[in-house]
Amino acid sequence: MKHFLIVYQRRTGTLLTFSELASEDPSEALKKRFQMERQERADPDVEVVILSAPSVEALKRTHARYFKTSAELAASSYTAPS
Amino acid sequence: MTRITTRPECTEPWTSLRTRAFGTRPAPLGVYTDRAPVDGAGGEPTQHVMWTKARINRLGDRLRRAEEIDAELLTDLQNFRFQYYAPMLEVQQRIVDTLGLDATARLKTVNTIIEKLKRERTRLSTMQDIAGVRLVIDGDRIDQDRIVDQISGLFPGADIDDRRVRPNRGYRAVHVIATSHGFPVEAQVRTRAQDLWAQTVERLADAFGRELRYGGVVPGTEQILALLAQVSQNVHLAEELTVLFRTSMSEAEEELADPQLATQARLQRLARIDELKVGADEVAGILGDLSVQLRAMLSKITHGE
Repeated sequence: MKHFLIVYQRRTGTLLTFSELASEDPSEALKKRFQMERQERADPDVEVVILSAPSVEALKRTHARYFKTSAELAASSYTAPS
Repeated sequence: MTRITTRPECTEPWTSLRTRAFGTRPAPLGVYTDRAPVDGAGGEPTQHVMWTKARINRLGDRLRRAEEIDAELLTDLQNFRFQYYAPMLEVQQRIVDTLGLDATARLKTVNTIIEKLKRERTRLSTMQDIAGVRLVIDGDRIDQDRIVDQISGLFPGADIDDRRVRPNRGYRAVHVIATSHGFPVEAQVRTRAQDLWAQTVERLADAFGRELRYGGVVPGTEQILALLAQVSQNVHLAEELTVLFRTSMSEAEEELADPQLATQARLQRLARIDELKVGADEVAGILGDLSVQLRAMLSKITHGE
């Protein structure tokens, strides 16, 4: 499983950090996240998260909000498969 | 149960300590755990903390009341969330390995925990989505039901929260709340359309304020919210129609294969299928139009963010 660090500014919708962690050790990933949380705790609009996923494609599918604007998301089809 | 004694320094990984303490038995909510290696002094645990329900709820009260998050409060919250990490990854790995599905796992963020505590006045010990796994599936509701069944089968006793029929302010999905080593892990199973809707609202809430997701009134967004409500309802209708269509097609194919079926009955079956197809196409058209309106409105008010 891969681990990705995301630091995201909610109000501006800016992805400040998006990086795949070199180590697949989950405890290292969590340590890194907690370290970033301490660094960013002063700003309540900054979101820090580690997302664990089999691939970056899987991650971008389940958490598209970090990578697309709301208009871009709305441009995707809402149509149910026929 | 082997009681782990206090040591001034502990470099043994938490998972190893846990296994020595509990083996593979499910642990109660109040677990003996290391202080997670996150204290400001460089990460060495200094004492062992028992997370009883009372202690967890006191932490929740502190978070709810806090004007800002100081280092000590953040450390306590991190220590608390740390316990959920291995159980969450275990749930994710089982889903990925056994069912061959893509699933992304995450621990709930500091801000969303605090927002939920303030908004719902809920107790931290009863929060079931501290650890979450999300699946966005290709397919319709029949496929969604099948995957929910498969996940439930992996975790006997899991609770199912079907929000498709009782949406939460337009949000539709099925949540399977599994228990792993005594910790709840919420698996969100969404169709593509359900997920797109949820992500759009979340992104909008990022820009305009998180209360927008939970019925809060944010000036300037009334039209958008009304449109999003329509989209949610039409996604629901489209998905229901697709199920009806798919089920009817299967039934009709079986019946039509019967050479004994009278011509009149045959024609009726075919007419019914045509009706459903027309209905499904109409709703797809409505959704397409709504999507265009939504995109235009979002571009205008958010300037594409």
